[in-house]
Amino acid sequence: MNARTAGTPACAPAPAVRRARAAALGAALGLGAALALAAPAFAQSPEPPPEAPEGVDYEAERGDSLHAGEVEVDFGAGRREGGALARRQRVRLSSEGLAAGVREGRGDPLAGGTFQWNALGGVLGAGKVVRRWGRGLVLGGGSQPWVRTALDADATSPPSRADGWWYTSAGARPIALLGGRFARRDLGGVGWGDERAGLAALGERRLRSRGGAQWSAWRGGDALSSELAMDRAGRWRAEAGAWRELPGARVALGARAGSDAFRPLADANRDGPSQALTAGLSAGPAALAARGYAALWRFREGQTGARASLEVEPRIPQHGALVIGFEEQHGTRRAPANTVVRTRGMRQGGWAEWRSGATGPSLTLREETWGRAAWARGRVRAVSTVRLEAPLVGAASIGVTHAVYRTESGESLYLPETEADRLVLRALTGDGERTRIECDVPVAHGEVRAAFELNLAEGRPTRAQWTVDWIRRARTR
Amino acid sequence: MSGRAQSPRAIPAMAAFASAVALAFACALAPAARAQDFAGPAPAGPAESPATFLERALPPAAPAATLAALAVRWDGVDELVTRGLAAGIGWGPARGAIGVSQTGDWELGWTGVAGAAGAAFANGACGLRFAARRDREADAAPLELGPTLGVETGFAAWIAPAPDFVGWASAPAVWRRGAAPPLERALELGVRWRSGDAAAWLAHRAPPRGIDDSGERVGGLSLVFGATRVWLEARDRPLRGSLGIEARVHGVALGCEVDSHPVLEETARLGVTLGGVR
Repeated sequence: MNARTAGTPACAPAPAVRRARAAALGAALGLGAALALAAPAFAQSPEPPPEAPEGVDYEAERGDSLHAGEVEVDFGAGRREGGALARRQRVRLSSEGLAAGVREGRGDPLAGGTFQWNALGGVLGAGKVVRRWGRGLVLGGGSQPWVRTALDADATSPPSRADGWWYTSAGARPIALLGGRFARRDLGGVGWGDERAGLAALGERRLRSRGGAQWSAWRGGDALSSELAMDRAGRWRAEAGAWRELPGARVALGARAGSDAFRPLADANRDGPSQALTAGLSAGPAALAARGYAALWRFREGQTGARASLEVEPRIPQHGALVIGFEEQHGTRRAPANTVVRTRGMRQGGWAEWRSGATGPSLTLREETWGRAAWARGRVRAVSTVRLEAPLVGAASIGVTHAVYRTESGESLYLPETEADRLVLRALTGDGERTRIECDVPVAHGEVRAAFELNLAEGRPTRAQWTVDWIRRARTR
Repeated sequence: MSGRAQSPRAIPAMAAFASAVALAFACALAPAARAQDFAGPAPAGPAESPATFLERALPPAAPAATLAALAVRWDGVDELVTRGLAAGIGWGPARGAIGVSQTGDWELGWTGVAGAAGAAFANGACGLRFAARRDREADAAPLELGPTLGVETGFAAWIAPAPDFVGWASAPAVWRRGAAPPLERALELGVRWRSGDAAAWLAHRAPPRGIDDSGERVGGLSLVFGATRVWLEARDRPLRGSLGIEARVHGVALGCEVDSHPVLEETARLGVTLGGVR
């Protein structure tokens, strides 16, 4: 997956423009990468971003990019649980000077379009704005300290989305302009720089409040990145992350500080904690890899949280991959402004996951349990999952996932699903079983991806849903 | 004789009542037992017996024609005895099995039929199973899904990335309709290591829907002494164990297994398998 073009059509401009656009895009990584990194490969349970309503399905674009000169069409249909038949279409194309993508469908939360073309000595774009400046404190959304991948250089939370336009000039230190409607606000911004260093300012079209403008300065690199942001009232936020490769180990540290009242103009619900400290370590001898992570954060007075986890991966050649982890969590992770925050007590959880291998038929077994008492007792959430993937004749393949889950009242469980054009975090509550069958079959120079899902929950009617997509990707020349 | 004399008609009624109480007691206290229609003597995980294929949907590795007969007395209850017959066949990667069993007496028992189909390759296999049960005393009633007739279907798979290691998953009753099975089973995940003549395994059985439990953990060890295999298995909630032994001579395997229980009597299993390999 190309993290920097996730969910965005590639335009294939000149190298300088490409670099400039990359700076302006600010690693448009998206939830795709976050999910992919947070999902079973790391054995950490995926969670939607904190601004998403709890206990509700969450959808995000897949980080799937097009090469220059390619066009992709996707015609799909599906029926959600208890809903009507819904059709959806998607067209994407990429050429030397133009990239475009349009997604349409009734009730599709990802519907919309993006167009980019080389013009005025740079790249001009319109449609859905997916931008990030620096570490995302002002534009793009900062990382969440409770997500382990927040310490990875390329892993960020999903960028802010808005409808508008943008322009990025060519050159080593490109100038970026943008305007659009972000979170019910008309904003305009100007920036200068790339991922290594830059300055930017973002303001409301009408500077009617003292917080109606913000500026940001950032510096990035392979071992250290930082950003300082401030608004007109002097409220500020600063964040830095450092990575160090040692012989046989990788260390990452992160810190955030600032005013409690600082809110990013582009999305006030994504302000995140005002103070945070994070540390991560990956190390271990050849026979055993270990990953540790710890984080402390504070939203406001009395709204704090902490987390620590340890995961070990014994290396047992020819016996598949085994991951065993343990984690403890305290406090709150969701504290959007102007809402009542429900504090949550201590949680301890453990998981074990085994994968048989990457080639041929593969089997993945996973057990995860969380409790409110020491050693994960007082269970609040438990899930047993099996996934079988097998190649069929030709290039066809089938995958079957079966999960048995149980959650207490007030607890949410999210199981990731990969659809043709999106990643879905399926929210499950109660006591039940979920079976999902996915099938990929080459048809008519394209590929048909079909999925059928059956959810059997105690005390609820049986719920079934399905999707079918036909996707074709071709070269235009 | 003091007291009222019991009428001859009351005696079978009381026996039926006692049997019903015993059956209900057994079912209530043994939610995690391997109590189904083809649960013969075998350790957890895939096995060569067609009964295991029918019971857990885990196909055998070898493409052999096999015939298995089994008898199980559940929790020491004489009125709760299962007698079953299963036949399996394999051709190339294809595997199939069918079987019939009968459990309990006329008033409380049921008859079960099952079929399984799957495919097995060098290092993995997957299978589907189907089972139907019908109360014995409803034999004269029309075939209709309801309180006396139930069906279920499920699937399973195992993968052996190395010759000495196998991981398996069995969801034998994903979809159910009609009468509920005697004991519901959700999902079992397990791994087994083998070193020479010894093997060890660990498994977790998730709790079925509607049962407030954390499931059951299983651990076991087996040793092979020439033509004889002995295994020990421990399960929790409540803590209990099993001891099994199987001897194979000239293509005939004779096995038995005894499950202990802290409250109920022992469950005894006896099985004879013709054909196949260990």
